[in-house]
Amino acid sequence: MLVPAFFRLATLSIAATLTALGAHVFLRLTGEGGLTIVDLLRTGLVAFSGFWLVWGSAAAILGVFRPVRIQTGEATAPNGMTAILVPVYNEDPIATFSRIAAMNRSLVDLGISGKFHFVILSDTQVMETAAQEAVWFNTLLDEPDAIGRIFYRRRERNIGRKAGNIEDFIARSGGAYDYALILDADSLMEGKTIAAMARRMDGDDQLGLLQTVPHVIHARTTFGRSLQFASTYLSPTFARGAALMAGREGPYWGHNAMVRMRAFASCCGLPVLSGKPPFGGHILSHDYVEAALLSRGGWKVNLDPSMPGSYEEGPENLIEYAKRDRRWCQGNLQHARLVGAPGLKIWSRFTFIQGIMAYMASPLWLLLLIASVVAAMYPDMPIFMPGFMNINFSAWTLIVAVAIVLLLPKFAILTRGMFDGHNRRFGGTIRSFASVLGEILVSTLLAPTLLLLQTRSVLQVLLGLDGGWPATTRGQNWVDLKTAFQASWWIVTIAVLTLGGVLIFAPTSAIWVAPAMVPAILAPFLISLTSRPTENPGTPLLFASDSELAPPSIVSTQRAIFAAWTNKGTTQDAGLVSLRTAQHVTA
Amino acid sequence: MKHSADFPFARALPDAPLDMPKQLLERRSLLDLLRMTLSALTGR
Repeated sequence: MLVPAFFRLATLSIAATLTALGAHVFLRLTGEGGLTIVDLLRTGLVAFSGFWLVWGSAAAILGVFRPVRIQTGEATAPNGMTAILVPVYNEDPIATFSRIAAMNRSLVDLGISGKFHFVILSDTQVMETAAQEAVWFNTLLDEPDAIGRIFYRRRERNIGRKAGNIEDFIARSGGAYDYALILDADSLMEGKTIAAMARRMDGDDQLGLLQTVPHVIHARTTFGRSLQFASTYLSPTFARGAALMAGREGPYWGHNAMVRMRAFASCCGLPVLSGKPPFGGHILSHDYVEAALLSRGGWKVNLDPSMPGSYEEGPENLIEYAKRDRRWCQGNLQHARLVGAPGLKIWSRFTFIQGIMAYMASPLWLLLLIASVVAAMYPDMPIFMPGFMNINFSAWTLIVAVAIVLLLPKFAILTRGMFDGHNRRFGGTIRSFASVLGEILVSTLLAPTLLLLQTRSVLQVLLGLDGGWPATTRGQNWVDLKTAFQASWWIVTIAVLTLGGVLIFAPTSAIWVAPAMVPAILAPFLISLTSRPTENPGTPLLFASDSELAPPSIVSTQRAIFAAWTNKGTTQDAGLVSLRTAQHVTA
Repeated sequence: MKHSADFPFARALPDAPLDMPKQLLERRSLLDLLRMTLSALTGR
């Protein structure tokens, strides 16, 4: 516990010092000759929002210096029984079940399948999809050792969404298992990774939850592949830093994680919060809350970024990303109700605040931009406090400092990758360097659009508008210009009005406002352009990821099963289901 | 095609219930605590 406390304190001190330094420089720059009330407001915003940027970067730098020990050990059978839970909600059954088939084959090949059951927990509400699930479940039963090991059940009403779905399973069958591997419909994990997780649970009876860092796979568009590259090349280092600070109070991201059934059942029964959504009702982002509750119960919650063989899929365009982000925004802001929950560990409370700030940062940055434009438009505002004289540095000093804070972790990861073989897995240092530059370019160009989208989400939640929990649309790629414009016309309007207003009323500020507003004006083009699938059948030069250059066996197996099942088509007769059912009912 | 809660596959799941008690996440007001204490004392 002393080690995480040291790293928390060190990172906090570095972040606070650098933030104070940045705020001081900003104050000197804006307060030449006298400080107005707007200058003080802007400095406060710079300090408050800047802290979280520096905090994130400091955590990543911490990860760069942490040694990596990637190993899953011998694939021997664990002692405990594991239920591999696959909650589904209006998903494509062929894709989802082909992943289950691949994971099952992986476990069967290792000769340890007897210790693992798969349970598909369907909350599907679309009847056609539910019918297809039953049909494709029948196909899944043709897989090796499937009978009596792979189960399916569907709830008619999806009370409590995913958390309620899992709770329903535990209340009914949880006592039959020692551990549960909780997956998403798009999760894919190597058999030996699953086995290693169960053995970790066997070996440490205080371990309540073990979270892996899933790598994004199967991305096809520029947006998706940029995200995939970030998740595979950059994220593990960020996660290593986060894990160092979190210690035994790590995060839970809702999937690709194993829980101790007894611990989860005794600590994670989620109440319905008083009041109406978005702040009351069912807890939307249940994972962070469950991690906090396990820590409160005295269980270890460990994040292990060195565990390989854990995969998921990601959004392929900005519109799908924004839809997911809207849900996460509401879920994270709802945590404001839980920051003061009784008995939680301080780090759990801090994690809630961090999640809230991840979304509140956008409106705060926007407020800073607005305040800066107002300050430029009204240069003769009354002086509130005496300012500074003889400023001998320019605003560029601050800009360069911010750029270093944002970019340093990425280039530090690149530099480390030259020595530990990380770059080799991504096509070499030159290719990795080009991909890092490309990722910076894509994320910078899309940042103003995301800032406005997140600001809208925050305002919607604060105004009490419940965004619900719409199903994830997977496999949606190209967004045509018309659709992109329909989704972002308001962003274009705000950006045109802002830039136009600045050019007329405060032309000297245009150089600061244009870098944010020009990409926002181009939002429809950027959304459409980055959603184009790559046409090259091989791996494109940019954003090459290790899973593309050397596909892991589980990924190849899943692709082969998916292709075979897709070719088989949907001609299967739903009537077969009832015939097969009677033969494999085990209880 | 069956879609109801008694869909036959569901019966294959092990019958091994595990209690999952609801956790306290919201701080109770003094009035709530008083009410709880009184109901515990009166057994209601």
